[in-house]
Amino acid sequence: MKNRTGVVLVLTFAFSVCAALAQAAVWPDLVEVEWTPSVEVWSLNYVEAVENNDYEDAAATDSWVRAFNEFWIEEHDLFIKADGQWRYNAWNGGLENESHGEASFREVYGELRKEHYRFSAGDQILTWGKMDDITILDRVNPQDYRHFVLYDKQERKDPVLMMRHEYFGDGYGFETVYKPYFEASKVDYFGRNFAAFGHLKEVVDLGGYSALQKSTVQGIGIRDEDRATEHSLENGELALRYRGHLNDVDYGLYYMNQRNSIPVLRESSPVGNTVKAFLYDPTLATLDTLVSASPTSEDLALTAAHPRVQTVGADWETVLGEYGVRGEMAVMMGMPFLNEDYSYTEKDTVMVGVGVDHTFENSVYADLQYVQQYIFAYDKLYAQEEAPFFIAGTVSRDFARGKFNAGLDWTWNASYGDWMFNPELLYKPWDSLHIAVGSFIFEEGSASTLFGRYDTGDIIYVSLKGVF
Amino acid sequence: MNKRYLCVLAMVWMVCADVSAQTLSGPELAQMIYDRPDGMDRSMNVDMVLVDKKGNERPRTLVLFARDEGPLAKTYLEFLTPEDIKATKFLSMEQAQGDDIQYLYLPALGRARRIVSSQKNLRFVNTDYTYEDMQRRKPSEDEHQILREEIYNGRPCYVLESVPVSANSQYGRRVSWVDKFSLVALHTDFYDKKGRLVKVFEVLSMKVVDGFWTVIKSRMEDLEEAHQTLMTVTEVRYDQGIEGAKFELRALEQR
Repeated sequence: MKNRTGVVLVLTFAFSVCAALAQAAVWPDLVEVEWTPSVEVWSLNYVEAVENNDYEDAAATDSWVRAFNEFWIEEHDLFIKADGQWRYNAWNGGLENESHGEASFREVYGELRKEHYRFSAGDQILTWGKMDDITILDRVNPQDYRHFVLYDKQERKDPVLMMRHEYFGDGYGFETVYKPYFEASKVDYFGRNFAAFGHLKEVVDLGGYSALQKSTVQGIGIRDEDRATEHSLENGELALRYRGHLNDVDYGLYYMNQRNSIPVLRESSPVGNTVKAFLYDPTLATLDTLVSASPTSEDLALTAAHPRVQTVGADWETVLGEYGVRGEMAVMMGMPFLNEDYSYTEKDTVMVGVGVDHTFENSVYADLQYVQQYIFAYDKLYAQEEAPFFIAGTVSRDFARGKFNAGLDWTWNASYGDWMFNPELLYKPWDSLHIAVGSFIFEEGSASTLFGRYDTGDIIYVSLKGVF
Repeated sequence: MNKRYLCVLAMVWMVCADVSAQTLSGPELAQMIYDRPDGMDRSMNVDMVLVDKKGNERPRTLVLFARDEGPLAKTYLEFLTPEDIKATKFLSMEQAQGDDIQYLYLPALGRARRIVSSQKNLRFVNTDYTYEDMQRRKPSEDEHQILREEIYNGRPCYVLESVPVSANSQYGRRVSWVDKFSLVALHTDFYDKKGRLVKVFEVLSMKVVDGFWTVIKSRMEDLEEAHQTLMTVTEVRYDQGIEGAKFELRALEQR
């Protein structure tokens, strides 16, 4: 890790120095480079609203410094982007305090810009689809879920290596994206408040359980099968988009052949899915069943896999009177779902989303989105209904010419009954500094629902963002 | 015929013929202002300063490109500074019928978003300009009347009153002091629908660039909030042959 950090820092520094020299016209005869640098400093600090036990992280910090470098070489129609970051994470108040820092590149790519086409290669972040902060078609980049949904979708995206070609016709465009390697979304499985299985291991370790029960649970591990081969061309992914404009409506048509970036867990235990049964439904009964099966360390190792999913979809956007309206639709073939016996099955599913936004006379902005899913050939699945839907909304208003903003984001998983509320107050003492205070409140729903599982994990946060 | 020559001819015609309110009607003047030569395309670098009632200043810089396509215009605007709104882009395309098609690109969103151009009273990125102020009003959208002629800041002007024909405006009426020679509105009083003076636009300086009268410094003041937006054009170019691609979605979403 230290070696990688050093390499990234040295390369970023060297790149910036070269750019500065070129910009300063030290080598005026070589090439004329227009360099646009900027720096972003960000710090998100959150605490649990109520401390429930000794093992949960009572406070956490996620901070970074990002250096953005954009270079424009007009004589070659060449755009180069080279962003690097140093990110620091700390978790405090749990069983032990933990922290680590890491340097990495963000978007690093070159782009050739011609009149009728653009071609780019390198690590990039794309935005597809029309919905706001909802993932239906915007699936080219994997996302970082280690802080759950505390960041919006755009910020959660990780750049990935891709080659992208865009052709621009008269009133239409065609885009081809090829990713030679697969990169998964980032998920914590254990030991964090927002991990997939939370603090389950700590609960057992500190609880009144037998030594065998404790050692069995501690032995549970997860291997990422596809990551082992992620730099194989077998994992290549393809995404296509056509965009046009018809009768005052902007629309897009999509096709994607990609691996599912969120992992599914496969179990090879000879006595059935006893490990997963305990992880998804952690009761004394499932623990006893697991321990009584006398699993070996190999049995306790789940495998994370990323099956291929083919997606066909469309999006559209227009205005109707004083309302902006938009929508997305995606048919996903071979989407993995969890059966009631905790085995995995693949089914075709369709997701349809519609959104409406409006700004009222008093400058209050409101955005309302509805998303409906339907699973074809449905039979009983674990915590998954045949046709679930959710509604998401935003209400916000600027005050004092944008120096203050008050906003509320919320999502209601109507089919499962769980809610998420995110009220936030934003203050900009200067244009370059944004200070936000807010909360994430998770309500209702069972432990198997998206927000219900964090019912006792509400947080309060302060974030600072500086841009220079 | 080149618009530049049209401009010169119009000026010569007005001076020689001593055009006055007696011979020129309000609608004719409004049409002349609408048709005022400003090149087939133009690009501007602009310094913008927002000044609140305490005198606190928030500077911004932006670039603006505009291009005429027949009788309709397309406008592209991009903020360069400060960093928190850098790369915010706005595209407006006039339509022969109906409201303009407008898009706003916000870097945090990562895509261009279609916005509602019919909500004309909303402020454009917290300036004193509303989306309506950002659009050209077609002469047929108002009833025009020349109230009088008078000297304004040493220049002979027509005083033109424009009252919206329909309710499709945030204003009840506008009164403009229009320079006889350049056809530039040097001062405009904006009244709301209750007849209250709510905003004032003033040209602080202007000059001829490439044969076209160009407003160099201007001020828009919101009287209710005692807030001003000062604009200074630091560089302007006309008829550079700006490509149509500059006014397409791809330009907005270009990273």
